[in-house]
Amino acid sequence: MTEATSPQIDKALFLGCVIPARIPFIEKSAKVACKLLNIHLNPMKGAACCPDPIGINSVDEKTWITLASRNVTVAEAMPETEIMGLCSGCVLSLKSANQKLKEDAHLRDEVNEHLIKVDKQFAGKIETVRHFAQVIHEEVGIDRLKSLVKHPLTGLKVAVHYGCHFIRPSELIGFDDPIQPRKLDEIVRALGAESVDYSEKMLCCGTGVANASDDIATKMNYRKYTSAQEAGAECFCVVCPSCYQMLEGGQRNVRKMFKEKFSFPVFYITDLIALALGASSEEIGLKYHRPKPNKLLEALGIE
Amino acid sequence: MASTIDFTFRNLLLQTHGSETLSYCYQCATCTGSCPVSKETGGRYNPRRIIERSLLGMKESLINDPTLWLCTMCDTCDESCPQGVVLTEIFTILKNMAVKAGKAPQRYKDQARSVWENGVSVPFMDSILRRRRDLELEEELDENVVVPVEELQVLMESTGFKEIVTSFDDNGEDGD
Repeated sequence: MTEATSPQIDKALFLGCVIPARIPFIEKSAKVACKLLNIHLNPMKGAACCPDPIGINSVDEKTWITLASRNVTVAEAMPETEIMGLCSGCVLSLKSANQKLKEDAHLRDEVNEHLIKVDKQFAGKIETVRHFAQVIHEEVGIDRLKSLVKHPLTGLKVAVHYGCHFIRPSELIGFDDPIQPRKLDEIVRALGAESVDYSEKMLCCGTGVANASDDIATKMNYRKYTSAQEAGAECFCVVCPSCYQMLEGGQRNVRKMFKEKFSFPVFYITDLIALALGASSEEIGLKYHRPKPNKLLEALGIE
Repeated sequence: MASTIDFTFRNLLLQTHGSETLSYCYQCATCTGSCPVSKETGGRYNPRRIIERSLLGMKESLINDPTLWLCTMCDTCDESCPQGVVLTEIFTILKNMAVKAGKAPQRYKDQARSVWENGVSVPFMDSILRRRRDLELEEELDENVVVPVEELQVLMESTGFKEIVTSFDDNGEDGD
């Protein structure tokens, strides 16, 4: 099956800030993967900070929901009816705004009183906000994804990391089981890789607590790496840039605190999909990952 | 730590949209049992205790408590609570109050200031712009880099965020 036979999926793309401004190779692999899957992305011009559902929400919830709603109004002025994000945090912020303002007329009026000052109004035109991986599971589908695989990732032992906001709060996200999710594992398996079962699979990456205590986050990371190692995992697969940065950088912090060396390359789900669908490692900037995944790519026969 | 009971605070919490589930709590501690930070800190961070003090109206004890900020916001407690208490939402309201009292860890203040000044938490830097060119993402730059900061500042002034960020400059104390 070629990409031309996949039905076209249209999305307004919300990029957020961590991916384009810190780890742009993830933006690249997402765009390569979307092209291979016939997902057309229309960038949301003039969008701003999502804003962070941990950092800014904790400081002032009203500002958080107002700025998130403004981003939704940017998409409302576009032809697409759905927003797609690459980051679990961005998706949570925009989805919270979109849903809460639709359900709560009082809140909508309150937010619109702010938005009118910049000639914007939340109208409720956006049907939903979804994460890239949710689009893959629900719209591309596991069967079609399988049929599109050109280079199966056979033998790759992946520690799937869901993180938190990709699945929680489940009442809002409504995608997978909030305590025992399985859909990301299904995507990873569809690509030919093995999803290893490890005891700390559901442990948070620690980004939230790191805002107040790096040490606690590092201890959580240590717990996670140890259990992934014991289960025989070779790498992590994540769906959120905060998780990506924590699980990469956490290995350096753990080395300092526990004098123990782990060497897990961290892949974004977009990386694994792009590779399995035939992209080269150079095209998606895998050389920027730390630790570098070269040995794993060699074993897979990927250039 | 002060242990004054403040009924006004308690009633305010119970009436605030988002924290009306507070009164459903029967202190079973499923939240603390499911909390990854509680596990890692040997119970020093204790969500059940935060809810208990909220129910009692112990305002000063709560907003001055640095462990309020140890919540990693994973929402596991919300999903596990048999009474449907939305703890994370209640903690958000408490943290918003603590911020207004000048109590917030430095990183929260820094991020808030960045959003006020740049319209984003994480602004672009030259090294990343070079990397974007290497990745052939340069054609997207105009669309991605231009953040309408002035428009955002109008909104942030309107919601009171500017005032909060300005208060960080006047108040050196933080919750670390």
